[in-house]
Amino acid sequence: MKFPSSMLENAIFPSVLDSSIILSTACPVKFFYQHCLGLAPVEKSIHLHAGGSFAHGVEAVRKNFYLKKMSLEDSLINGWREFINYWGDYESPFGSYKDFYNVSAALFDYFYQYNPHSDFIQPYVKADGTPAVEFTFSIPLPINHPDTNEPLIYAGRCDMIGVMDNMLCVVDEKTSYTFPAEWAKLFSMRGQFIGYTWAAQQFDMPVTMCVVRGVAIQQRSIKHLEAIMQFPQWQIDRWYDEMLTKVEFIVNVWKSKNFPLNYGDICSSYGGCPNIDLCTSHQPEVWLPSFAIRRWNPLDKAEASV
Amino acid sequence: MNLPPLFDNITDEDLSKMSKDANILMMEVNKLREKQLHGGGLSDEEVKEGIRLLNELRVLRAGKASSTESRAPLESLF
Repeated sequence: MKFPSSMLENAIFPSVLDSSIILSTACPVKFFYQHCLGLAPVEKSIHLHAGGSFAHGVEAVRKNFYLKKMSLEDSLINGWREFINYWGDYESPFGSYKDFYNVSAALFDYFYQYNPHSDFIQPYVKADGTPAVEFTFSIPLPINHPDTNEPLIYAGRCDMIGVMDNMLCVVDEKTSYTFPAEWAKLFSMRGQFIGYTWAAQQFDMPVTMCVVRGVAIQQRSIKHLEAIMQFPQWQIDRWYDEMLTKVEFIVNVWKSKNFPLNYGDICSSYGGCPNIDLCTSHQPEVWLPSFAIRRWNPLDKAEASV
Repeated sequence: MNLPPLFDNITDEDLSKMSKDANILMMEVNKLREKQLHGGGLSDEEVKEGIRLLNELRVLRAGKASSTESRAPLESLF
């Protein structure tokens, strides 16, 4: 598919890539709309907002407790203030269980379930003596940006590098409504987590394991479940090679200015692609005013990835 | 603090009362949110009051859904 020059003029190939951007290369048109033009639904997704607020609250409590050495009580009190500041005046869509009250309760319930005093995963203490309660990385790739010719950056942030039974692990929290059958299996091939593991290794942290802590926010209760995944080195190496192949592919697509459509599951997954009206229109540019422009930067703390 | 008993057999009257109670609790929590965002911030005591209200709301919502599940109150962390 070729885009009119009026759309191409406003498009910018992203300099910083993360797992969600690379995932979108499965549909180069989606990549173009979402990450080159920055098209996003006008209403911010409740899933993104609730997940981001929850992660921000958890991070604040952990920093208070592990870095600032506050008591658990003070850590939680201050953590809820931080949570409110992040949540802001946002109102959840009618009927959503992920509202301000339930997500607040989930924040406290999380630390009831995983009390930092007795949690079997404790933060890894880095060489400088500080606990790794947040891990942000940006790593240059051996592929250059198609326009600036500077190396592209693979970036991301995970919630914690932890130690479990003397082994290092990546820890990440995921909020949801439910835990479907075999929930833990959903993550065994998730590039996001293998990517975190690879990134930690680039900083000389011998991580091969990832723990996803799921928090299901339901009307009557808050449920917790853990998925513990071990990634052998061959899987991590294979992920890295595949990631580079995808980056190279999308760079070449950008250079050719001819973007293939996916015509598959990606159009209907996650409740349907938000760009579907553009793809089913002979003149996609007429739909542009119905979108907001939000350029996703994986290193921007104000937003959260799915 | 002990959790109040949860409800297995709820009448329409119960539901109506719980709905009103939940709305009042949400309004109270919202007042605290407003104060944190636009009114100079919350004191420690106000945060603790917010946690107490959230816990009551959670118990009410659990009852509304006929849950027999129980969980320690949020304040038990302190």
